[in-house]
Amino acid sequence: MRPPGGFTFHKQGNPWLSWHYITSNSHAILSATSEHVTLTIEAVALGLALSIPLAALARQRQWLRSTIMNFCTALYAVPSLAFIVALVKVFNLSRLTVVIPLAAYSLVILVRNILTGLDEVSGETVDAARGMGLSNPRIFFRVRLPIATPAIVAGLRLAVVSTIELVVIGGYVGGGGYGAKVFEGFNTKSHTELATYIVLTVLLALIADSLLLLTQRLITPWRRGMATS
Amino acid sequence: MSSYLLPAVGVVSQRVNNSTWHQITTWFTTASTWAWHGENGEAGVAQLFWEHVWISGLSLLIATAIGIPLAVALTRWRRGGLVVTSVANAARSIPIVGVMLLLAVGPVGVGTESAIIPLVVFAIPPLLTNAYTGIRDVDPEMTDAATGMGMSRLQVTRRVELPLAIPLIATGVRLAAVQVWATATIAAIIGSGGLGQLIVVGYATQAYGEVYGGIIVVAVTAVALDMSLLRAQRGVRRRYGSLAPIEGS
Repeated sequence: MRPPGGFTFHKQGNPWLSWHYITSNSHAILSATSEHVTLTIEAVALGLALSIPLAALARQRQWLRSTIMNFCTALYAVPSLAFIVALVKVFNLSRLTVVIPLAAYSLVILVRNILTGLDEVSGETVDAARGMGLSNPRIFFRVRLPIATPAIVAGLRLAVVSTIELVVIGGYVGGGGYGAKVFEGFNTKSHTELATYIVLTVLLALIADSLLLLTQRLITPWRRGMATS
Repeated sequence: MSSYLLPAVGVVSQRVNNSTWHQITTWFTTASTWAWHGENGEAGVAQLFWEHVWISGLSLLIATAIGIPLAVALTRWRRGGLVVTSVANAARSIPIVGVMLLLAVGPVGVGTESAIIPLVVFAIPPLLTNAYTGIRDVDPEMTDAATGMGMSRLQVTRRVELPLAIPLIATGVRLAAVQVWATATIAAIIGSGGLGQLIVVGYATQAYGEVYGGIIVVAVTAVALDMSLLRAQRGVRRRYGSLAPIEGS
């Protein structure tokens, strides 16, 4: 998108970064940011909604566990360009074209971390809960899942950061957010637009990561100072 | 929101209609698809596959040649761990597509170089992290014993530390290889060739036989590479022992 007011890149040259570009395009930047954040949240939320039941299922039998992990790993190996373009004809330019592949990529990270978290719950804790008369579903939601929360949030951090980066590829098929701007900058050979939105993507990833790290510290104060990964 | 509620199966059958299926089957059953030179003088799958192997292999080789010595050097330095985590975190948040597009419109220009530079740079973090952890976790008693036997610093690295770190180095190489293979697909957007070209050219010309054919070829080769490297890695671990769980990125 050209900045308003008859301003062209040629008059100003085509610098890699320009403060003037940022101030004169603040509206476009804000709307792209909100689109990017929305797409990321939708993808990770869908991924989380799928990965909790998948992880719960994986814990039932060893063969289910390896099947689910292998499936997620194989899904993760599929190149993002192939996955996204494959859905273009199915969903046209609906946001699902981008959200579904990104949710699929977050699965492997989330399922692995949820499993790690659930495995950490000791048998004694579960026995104690059972002794208090809690049913199996209640034990899962009231005991196992809360204890697994630190590991799940650690997984969310990785998933959110990689999703923020992957949304950019969605720009190739007309997906929104910074991706649309990055590809627009590429097609119009605008160094400024391209570089600005790449820097914004990195900043957004760093901010999201810091916020989640803060959340992780707030909900697990006893872990402060311990290594988190 | 209503788009979320549409039953996926109905949408699929509606949008991917008979003519698309026909295009896909035609693409797969045409002999020239798989030849070195495809139809209309375009590159066939054989040539694109070779280009893909070449780009990925070269990038992985350069990244390994940089990453492993760098990991060794960083284990010698007190602040090395901080550098390794910073590099890994930075790489995770930089959009690699963006960097490729940037190099293509900027200093390097459209073509293979603009693809290989980011492929190398982004393959270094997994190699570096795993090699660093592998070498750092070598039991100090081992290196002490080797030094006591009169080995030089370089000999200790080459004959004790690196062999003991092999299982984790193998993990790093597998993760980097899978990532490079997948990302090399995206590089077709900036005209570097490789299997992604089927998707990019097909998409641009609305040739859906080529698009879906390309997607299947790209997905199958990527998953096959991942699975065979995982198998190879298990072999390495049986041979050299293990230091860490096999999953992990």
